[in-house]
Amino acid sequence: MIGRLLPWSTGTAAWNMAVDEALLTTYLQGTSPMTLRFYGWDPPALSLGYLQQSLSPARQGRCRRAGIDWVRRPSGGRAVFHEHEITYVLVTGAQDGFAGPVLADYQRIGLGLQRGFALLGVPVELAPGTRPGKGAVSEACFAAPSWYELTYEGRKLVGSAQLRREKALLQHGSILLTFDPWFWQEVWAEAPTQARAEGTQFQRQVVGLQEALGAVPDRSVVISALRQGIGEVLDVGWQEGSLTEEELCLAKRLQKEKYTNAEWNNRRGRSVSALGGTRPAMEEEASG
Amino acid sequence: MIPSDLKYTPDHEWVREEGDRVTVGITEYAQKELGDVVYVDLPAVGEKVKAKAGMGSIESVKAVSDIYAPLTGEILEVNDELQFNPELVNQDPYGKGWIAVIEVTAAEERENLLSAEEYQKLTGEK
Repeated sequence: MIGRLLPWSTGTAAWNMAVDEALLTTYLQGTSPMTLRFYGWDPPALSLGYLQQSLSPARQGRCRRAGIDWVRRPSGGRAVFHEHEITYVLVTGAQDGFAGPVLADYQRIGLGLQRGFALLGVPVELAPGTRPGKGAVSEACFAAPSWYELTYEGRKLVGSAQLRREKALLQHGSILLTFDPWFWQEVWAEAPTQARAEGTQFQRQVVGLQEALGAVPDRSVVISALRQGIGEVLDVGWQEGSLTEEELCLAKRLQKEKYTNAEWNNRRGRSVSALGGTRPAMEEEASG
Repeated sequence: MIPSDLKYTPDHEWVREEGDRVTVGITEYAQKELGDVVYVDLPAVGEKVKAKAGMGSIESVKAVSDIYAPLTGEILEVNDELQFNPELVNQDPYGKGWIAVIEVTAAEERENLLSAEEYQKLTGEK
């Protein structure tokens, strides 16, 4: 099987999500192949899961003052801060052997990433995961590993999320190069006590590739290993390519109409609360 | 077991017909494919929906999947219980895990629904 590998690029939060969704749409239309790409975020940005509660005005203000962009992803999961990382996205579907179930597809992609990290000399594990309980749950993705996510010595190295549409899927994820809890302490936290708690928790539970390697990672070496690992496990040969005119036009439209649109980014979502379980955000606000 | 008194769609929704009103949900096959459901983004009461178009989303462990309207119409009721107990979709997809009630406005679309036998052939489920 042959898939397409797009070149490294950096983009704003809205552009990155627009391109990812454009790749899924054109794949579903049959005009684009299975595609893998790696990219960065400029400026640093916060992304929220599709069904996650919108950012409070206070958090939005702190993001603005810190020069941090923010966007709602089309995929599930929780908040991720994108700064020193490599983001990957894989768009594929049933015709390329990804017919579900969700966890089985997650596992296969996880095994591909695991192979890639092994080629770098970093032994990572696939987390077993458990069903989320109804007690307090962090709103941050990297606070705990989920099913088949990648950990190094028990600490989360990669956080991923999926969007499934008809017979296709988009899975993207953050591979941390270094981890600094400053965002969670100074921008995300609503109170100093929360800042201290989040910072301490993250230091225990999150790891960057630099710490695992014991050296500053060379981005091109990391990408080369990951593309090889994913290719070996999925039995895909990667052919270098670029975005088509159709994908570029669609991405520009999605960036303008959706990912820079306040109606999308501020949509009501679920609140993961200490009150027990998840509740619609409106109810959470009404209850005080 | 696929209930024989329901109709189905190729997108793995089930339909319980009660005159012009239909109750809809996702099938046992769909809930197994998704895994543990952690949130259901329900359509709004009064919302107009079109057959095969999205009418809400389901989030299961880290994957968001669209729910597709099986028939064109208007949302009359939604299962608010799913806001607090989304796992009902996994535990009782044909009963307490129902998602919405639609008042059907394009009756001819019912011809496109699958019988239990046809859905069984599609999925290989018993």
